[in-house]
Amino acid sequence: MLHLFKKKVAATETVAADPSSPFVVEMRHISKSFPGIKANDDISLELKRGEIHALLGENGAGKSTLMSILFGLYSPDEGEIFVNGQKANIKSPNDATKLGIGMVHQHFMLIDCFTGLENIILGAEPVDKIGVLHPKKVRKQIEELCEHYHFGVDLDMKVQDMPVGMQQKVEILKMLYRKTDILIFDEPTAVLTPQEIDELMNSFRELVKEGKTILFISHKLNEIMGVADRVTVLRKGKVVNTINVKDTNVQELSRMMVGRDVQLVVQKKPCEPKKTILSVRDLCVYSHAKHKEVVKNVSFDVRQGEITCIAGIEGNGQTELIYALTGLEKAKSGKIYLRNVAENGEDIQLDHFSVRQRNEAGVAHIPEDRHRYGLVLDFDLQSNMVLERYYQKPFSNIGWINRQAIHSYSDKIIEQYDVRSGKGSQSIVRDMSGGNQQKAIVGRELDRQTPLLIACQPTRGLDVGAIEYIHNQIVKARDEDKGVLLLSLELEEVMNLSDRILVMYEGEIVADLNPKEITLQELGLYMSGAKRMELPSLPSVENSLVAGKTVLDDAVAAEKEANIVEKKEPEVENAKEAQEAPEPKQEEVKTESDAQKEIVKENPSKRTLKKTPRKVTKKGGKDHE
Amino acid sequence: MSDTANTAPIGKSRVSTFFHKPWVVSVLSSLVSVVVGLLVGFIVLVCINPQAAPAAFASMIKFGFTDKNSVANIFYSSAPILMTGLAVAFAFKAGSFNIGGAGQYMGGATFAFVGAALWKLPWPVCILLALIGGALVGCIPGVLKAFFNVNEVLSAIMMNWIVQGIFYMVCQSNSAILVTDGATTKVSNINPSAVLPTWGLEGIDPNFTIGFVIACILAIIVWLVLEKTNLGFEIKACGLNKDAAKYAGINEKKNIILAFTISGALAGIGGALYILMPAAANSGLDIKYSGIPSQGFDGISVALLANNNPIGCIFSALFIQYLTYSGTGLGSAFTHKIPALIVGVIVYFASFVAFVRMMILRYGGTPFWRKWFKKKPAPTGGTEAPKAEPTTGKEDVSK
Amino acid sequence: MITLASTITPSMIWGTFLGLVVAFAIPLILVAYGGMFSEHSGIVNIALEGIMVIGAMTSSMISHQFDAQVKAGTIQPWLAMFIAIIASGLAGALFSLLLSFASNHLKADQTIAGTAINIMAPAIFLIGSTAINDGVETDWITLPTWSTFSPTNFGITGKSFFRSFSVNTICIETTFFALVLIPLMAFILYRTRFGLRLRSCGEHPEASASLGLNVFAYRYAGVTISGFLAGIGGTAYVLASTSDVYGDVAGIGFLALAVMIFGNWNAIKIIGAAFFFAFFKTLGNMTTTLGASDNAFLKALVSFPRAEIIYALLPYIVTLIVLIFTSKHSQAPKAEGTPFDISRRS
Repeated sequence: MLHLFKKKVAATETVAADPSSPFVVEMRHISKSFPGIKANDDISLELKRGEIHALLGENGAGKSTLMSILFGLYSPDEGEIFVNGQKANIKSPNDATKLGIGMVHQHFMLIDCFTGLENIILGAEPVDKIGVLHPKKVRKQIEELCEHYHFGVDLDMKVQDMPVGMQQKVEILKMLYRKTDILIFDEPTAVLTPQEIDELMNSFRELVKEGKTILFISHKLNEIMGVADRVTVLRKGKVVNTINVKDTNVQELSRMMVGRDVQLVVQKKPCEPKKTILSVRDLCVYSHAKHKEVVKNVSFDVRQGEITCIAGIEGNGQTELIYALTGLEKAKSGKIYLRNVAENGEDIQLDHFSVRQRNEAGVAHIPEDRHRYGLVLDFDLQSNMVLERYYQKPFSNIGWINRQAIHSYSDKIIEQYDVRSGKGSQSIVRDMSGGNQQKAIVGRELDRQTPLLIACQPTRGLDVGAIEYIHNQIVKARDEDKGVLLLSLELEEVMNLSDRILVMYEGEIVADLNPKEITLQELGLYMSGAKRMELPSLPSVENSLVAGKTVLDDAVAAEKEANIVEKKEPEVENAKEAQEAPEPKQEEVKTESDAQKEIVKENPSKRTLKKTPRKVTKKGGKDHE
Repeated sequence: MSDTANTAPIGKSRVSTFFHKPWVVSVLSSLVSVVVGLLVGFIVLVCINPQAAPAAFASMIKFGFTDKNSVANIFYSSAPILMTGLAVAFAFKAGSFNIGGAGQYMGGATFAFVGAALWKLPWPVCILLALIGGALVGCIPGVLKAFFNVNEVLSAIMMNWIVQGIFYMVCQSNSAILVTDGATTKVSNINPSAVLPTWGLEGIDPNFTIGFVIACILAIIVWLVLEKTNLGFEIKACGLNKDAAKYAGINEKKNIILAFTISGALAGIGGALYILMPAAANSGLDIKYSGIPSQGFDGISVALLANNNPIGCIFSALFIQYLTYSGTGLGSAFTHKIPALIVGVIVYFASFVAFVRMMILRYGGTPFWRKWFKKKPAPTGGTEAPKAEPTTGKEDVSK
Repeated sequence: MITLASTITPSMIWGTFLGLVVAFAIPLILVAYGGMFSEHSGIVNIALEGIMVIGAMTSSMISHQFDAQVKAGTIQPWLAMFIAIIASGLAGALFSLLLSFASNHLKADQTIAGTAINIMAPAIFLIGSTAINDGVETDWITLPTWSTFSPTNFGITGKSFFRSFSVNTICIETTFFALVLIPLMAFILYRTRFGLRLRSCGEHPEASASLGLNVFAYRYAGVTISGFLAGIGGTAYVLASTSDVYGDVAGIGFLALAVMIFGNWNAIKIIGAAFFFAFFKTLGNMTTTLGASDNAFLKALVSFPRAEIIYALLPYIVTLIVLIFTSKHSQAPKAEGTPFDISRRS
């Protein structure tokens, strides 16, 4: 029994160069299915010794599954894996480690309260005969590794105090300490700052010089072009192509990644946007889990009668943005205004409102994570149908719940949205399929007929018929002059359903696009950070305020800019000058971006694209680091 | 997350469908724990004294039914633990473990006692005072959890001891209440109007007060609150899924505090029902402050056996009281506290009730012996698949 | 409680006082260490109270059985006690298997399982105490007189500080156990491979599993160690308190959990926290003695109304206050209380 506590797992076979096989890892005809989806469909992948190989694909392409199979977390339904020419049976991470394969997951496998050194040696500790730790024995060895690869890792710092880049290096050192030769990285740059990304890319090159092989999953085209030797593109579980990076470019990769087929067509009238219904200014959200600001000074407007879509690869801040808008998480700073649809009503400032107040003010939210936020799984369906409204008439009266009213309301929505369940309104939601759960949530939120609808991944898990129905309902809401803010990771949905696309990359809005005027490939470029748009600053909401009028009235705001005083916050000198000599000077202060704004106001659907990548004008004016 | 609403295997008999009904599974899992508990008790008896064991066990089972006095005793003595059981059940519905039932019970008893003995108030007012007393004691763990993230189990246990001492101090400081060191005056002597009336029940047994009736009514009220009111909706939502409750606009902090306060109030009433009982009122109260009244912990057993269902608590309180009372029927060869062991085993089983339920769902409806001859049917719902299937938007396994 | 003779000098009172503080701190530290090991492996163990009772029962029953032999001289008292104490630790370890089995394999709610053990323990004690008393139902087991030593055994005579100090410390055999176990357990937790791996299982079991560690094994180990320590802690408590052992350890098991949280799950800080609580508890226990003494300082400490009760309650009140301040930034093992599901991959 004691052997359970004495195990030491490290690479037991050095991956010697085997002349008979040019490939250090071969995955042949790997297939893996999960209920309802074929994640990997006959994938074959060859890894050359000493190369940096990238695995590219959008969400749902099957990249993580494939790597998990290689690392022993899943076993494939079909196919074989060969390591160094020998057939390998990888049933668990231990087997993979013994073969010299190591993996750095997207969510690090580190013990936060341990030091860097302790994390590295855990599982393969240097001990004497009775099991006492002697970290000094291997400290020198690890320090040499650090120096060799130029890792600036403080071995005595607790992981929870380390910046994310250093944490990642600890993960790499874990593998190097175990003499791993094949290093797999799952989206390694997702959580890094630009400087840390450069350091990591350099580390890759150093590791490869030592004879290691690197395989990394990414959706960021620039990084792949910058550091990889070869890239394999996956789409919908299949390999599209494996190609030398030298022989390709970002456009081609983007095309391979997203494909040319557009299967989805949404019937809709041309968009006639009306007044602004939602204004977001300088929203900043800090994530404790990721130790960094994930939404950086985001400003945008959503208009009635228009479907605005926040697009981007998952993990670029969209989720946190939505949570801040709906009140589920607190924003660090920024303002959110909602138009009060009552005539001449004052606009509602949402940012200090509770979730319930925002619900009552007129915000409906189809959440991205339906099990966590959207439903109480152990409640019955009818209770979930009134989750936000149970306390309002007619569902409840002086604190007493009216089951009858809830039941008939629930029946109505079930009927309308084709929500299928074993016992109708009284089914326990946990027993329903994911697709039907989603339809219930969508029905609930759409039926609330709120002025603003925030829909995150509304058609996830649905079949084609249901998707079409939901899309039609969303378009109908838009035609009824509601404002729709869509968050979607499905590019087809983004291109076809939305009237306007705001691309988010690394916490900032980097593009404002008309889906009718761009191609899918171009969208891919913006989403992966290869391209960037210079966006005009939006008017500060307070400064457009004139007593009696609503602040969100575009026409009024435009009038203001054209004629009178526009106090821009940042330029202090300008402000001073403005105080000294008011009107005439102000006219001269107008810059190119003001002029651009005027053009924009006239033609809301046309945006001039300035193709100067990487230069970002600060929106709203506040100077942030 | 299966694709069918009904977890019963397709094509199986009506018997197995019956076994898949939620309430059947609930009752069955409670029965299983009771049977195993009794079995363990019997085995322990056999280990101590093999010859006398079977007879003693049988007499223990029968003891509660020997005469109408013992039956009545069980009914009216179960009122306090029914209340503490409701308290624990309510807190569980809200997602918290209220282990402070004893302290809240004492708090309520103190308030009721002071009201009865010192201020000479009639019994309805005393019960109201007890409600307030229990609520005050109960809200503290709630407030500490909501605002300071203090573990509610520990804070409730500390409160148990603190209230104990406070009760002692209160009694000690007022010579009108205290007769001798360690015992209080008899409520019935000072203030007969505070003693719970019997309203005709004394025909069955002179001690049979309406306490049990009050407790049953309160159980029904608690059930109504949980099922039919906004408050109940919010409490249950918070208990089942904090995040979805947040999404629904429910205030989490307010809910925790309210849950503990109501829970404490219920336990406090339990204290009043005990202290104003003729039996206690006639003999005074033992306030040796080194002990915590066991009724607090019995409440945990009551709630868990009833699967936190308020109406179920009525039955489980009767059963546990019956079990405790039956200890005396064991005869001289065995200690009278064997039932406590049985109750402990029952609670132990309640700790892994999910596992027991899974077993019932898997094997219910088909006689065991058939398994040995037929191949075991594949587990329903696909036990392998759900673990791999994406459950959240983030962990998209199909990447 | 120690009864003092009529000629009591202040130094003797100090001796008794400090001795009692140590005597009370030792079970607290031992049991808190038990809780620490268990929670560091990932399992919340509130059954410590019940396990202490089982430990106390075991050691008192076994010493009771040795009574005849000791009186006949066939076995030394210290050896008999040694066996009794080890047995109490083993009994505690065995009893804790209920918790670890249910938590690991039945996905039990650990708090409820622990509570079940706390409910069962006093009943089991009563079975034991009745059996010891030849089937006469009794609530207590009397410890034989030789279970604690006399200072003269160590050559300390006369009325002095050392004498009264030693009565509650070195005259109780569990103190020696504590002197060995406490540093040993701390060393094991922080300086051995076993301790490092154990702690990882309670912080991030998925990471540990990905490194090839058997999380279930480490959780069994953590809970078993906590059972062993709590069993000995129970014996230490009853040896220091009374000669009649009841199936009730007055909430010390829960107090030890508070000590563990106050000590932020850290072995050294726990020692400090334990002495902190022991100090106040002893003040409460000794109120009458202190009040009757000639020392003005000691008298003043206890000369306000209801001093006895307030001091008795002080550990619990202080615990509450301390919890308020320490809970926000607690360094609780991150994955404690959650059953480890090997199929849940990140």
